[in-house]
Amino acid sequence: MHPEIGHAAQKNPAILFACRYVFAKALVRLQRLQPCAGSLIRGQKLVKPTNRPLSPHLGIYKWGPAMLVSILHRATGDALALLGAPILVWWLYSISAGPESYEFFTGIMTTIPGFIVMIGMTFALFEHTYSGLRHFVLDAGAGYELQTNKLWSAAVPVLALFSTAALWFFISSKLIG
Amino acid sequence: MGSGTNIGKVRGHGSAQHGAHHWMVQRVTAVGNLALIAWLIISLLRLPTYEHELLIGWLSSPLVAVPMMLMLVSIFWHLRLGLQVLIEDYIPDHGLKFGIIILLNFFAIGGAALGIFAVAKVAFTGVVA
Ligand code: HEM
Repeated sequence: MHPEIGHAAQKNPAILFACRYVFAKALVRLQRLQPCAGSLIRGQKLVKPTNRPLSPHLGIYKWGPAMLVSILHRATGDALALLGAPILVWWLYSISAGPESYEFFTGIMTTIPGFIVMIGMTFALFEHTYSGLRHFVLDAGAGYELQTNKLWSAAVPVLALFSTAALWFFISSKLIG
Repeated sequence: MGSGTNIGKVRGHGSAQHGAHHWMVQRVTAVGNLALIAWLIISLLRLPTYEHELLIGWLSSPLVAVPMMLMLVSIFWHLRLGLQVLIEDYIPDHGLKFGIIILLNFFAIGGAALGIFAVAKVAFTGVVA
């Protein structure tokens, strides 16, 4: 503390109180400047207090159909993008490259892992598509009532499973029958 | 917010004013996907068999080749936007994020181009039947 202030403070309790107040404030500011979650990002200098709110982590939410459908929308979209779309292009490429190339493609896709991938992609497509339709309804501002939301969220994976089963039943009856 | 430098005040506060357009195109391409993938599934189910010769004949019809190309554009555009959001959500490091988005562009444009070229090749040279 500056000697002059110390000197004055001894005479005047009000000044002492003001000084303590200022120091306490400064200490709190300093503590806020300590690195926390948001400030650990590499390449960013910490230039302001990062005590902005963070969203709570997954663990605290109660599971419900809406949460499941939301997560599945992302998971299935990413699976379709990273696996489904390359397979689609490979299929078209193999047709264009000639009969041997096409046979190589169908040979791999009709092994057991191949069928698992194809059926998985079918489910992902139906799940993502129905959930995408749900997005359109929500985008329009409808379907937010708790019961309605729960109903359609639960319906999406059920319909997707049903559609996948129906499509593959149709394909197998056609290929075998 | 804060009392830092000017750049410090704006950094990390979001909107670069591209969000609404991204959101809209995600929906436009979603509708495109919906229509064109439905077409593809129905068209495939109506084929009697899946032998190579037959597929060549099928794919070389303009009414198959054109929707197939449009579908490739719609799907790869949609997944380009979708994976961008995924990357932005989970990769905080600016440099790495930038690099992966470049790879994403190569993947999306390259994938669509390869698919479209394959369809065009069949359409222009294919007629076996
Ligand atoms: C092969 C087809 C498709 C692929 C590869 C695909 C891929 C994706 C991906 C990767 C995302 C980002 C998910 C996220 O991380 O939030 C996404 C989002 C989305 N997809 Fe698809 N998708 C396809 C078909 C469809 C269809 C048919 C529809 C509509 C009926 C649709 C509707 C949507 C919507 C509305 C979003 C945005 C969700 C949001 O804003 O949070 N998608 N898609």
